[in-house]
Amino acid sequence: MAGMTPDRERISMLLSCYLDGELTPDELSEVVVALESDLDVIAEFRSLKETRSTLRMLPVLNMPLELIPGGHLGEQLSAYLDGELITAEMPVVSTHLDSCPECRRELADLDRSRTAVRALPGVEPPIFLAPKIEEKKTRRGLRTAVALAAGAAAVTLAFAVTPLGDSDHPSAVSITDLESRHIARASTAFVPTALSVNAP
Amino acid sequence: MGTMADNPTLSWEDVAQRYGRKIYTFAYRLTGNPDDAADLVQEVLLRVRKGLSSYTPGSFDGWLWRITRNAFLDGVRKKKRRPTQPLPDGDYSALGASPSPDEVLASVRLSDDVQSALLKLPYEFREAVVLCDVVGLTYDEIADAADIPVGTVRSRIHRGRSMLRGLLTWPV
Repeated sequence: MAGMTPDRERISMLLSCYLDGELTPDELSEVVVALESDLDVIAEFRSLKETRSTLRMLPVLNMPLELIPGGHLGEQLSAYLDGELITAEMPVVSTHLDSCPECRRELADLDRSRTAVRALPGVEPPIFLAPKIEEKKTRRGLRTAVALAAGAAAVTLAFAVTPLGDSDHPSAVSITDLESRHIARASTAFVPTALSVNAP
Repeated sequence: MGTMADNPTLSWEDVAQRYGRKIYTFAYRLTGNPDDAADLVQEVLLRVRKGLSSYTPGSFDGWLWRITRNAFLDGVRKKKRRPTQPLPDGDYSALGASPSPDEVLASVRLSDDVQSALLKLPYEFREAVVLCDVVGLTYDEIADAADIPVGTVRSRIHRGRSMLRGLLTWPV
């Protein structure tokens, strides 16, 4: 701003106010006239606009969780259950859990869901496939095929248990029912797809 | 901006949840120091807790930011600590759509550059620019919070931005 005339300096200051919508109607007319007639003013306006946009793009930061009364742990709860928290997060999460019944309740729900999924049994391939499996036992890649089929079946089962978070009756769905349902599915669309992927 | 009249039952916990991140960001942008920012949030919430009972309806934002600014200046006077180098922000949860890794990297660099440039401004200009562009206050609210005339707010914001313009280099 050095070397500017007082009038030009005034216009310069009004440019920021213009960007912020903080001008009086008279000032607005003054700025509009200057912007229509002075290339220096236009260049300064563009540059100020860019600076202002850059500042406004700065993110609002997350503050440490312990400073938020009533703040909750969210996805950190699953990481906590799986032992996947980074070391620095552990004391924050533990302290918060000590004082927050809501997060403790959510943690218990998540734990039940996680246990239900992990308790799903390994599933034997459907009986009608047994001869084919025997036949292919010596072939390379068989082990992978069965493992994939069983893994995918476990995923199917996980989706079949609805709702997973039934906290009062976590094992209300009988495993036999689930297996029957799975066999019904497996004999239609699921298994042939898996086999076709792994067929030599 | 909201006033207490909008929600007369606002508790200090509500204030913490609604304004905590902004207070933290305000302090971080002024100091470049996460510890000072955390200290400020605690101090402000303490003052809000004490002050809410005697708060008289008016501009809640003006009141809150006056407390925040005073707490910040008291903290600076007490510590007389030099600002440390800024850390990468690394938090983009407020940005909405997920940016690509390149965008994240560019954004971190950009934030660092802008943060470094902010720390080079004289305090009065830095404060005015942060309250306007980071916190999002109007000129009247800044005047109220900083207890200065609106004309001074205008001048400080403009001079702050003009200095930043010189400090930041733009890709050609």
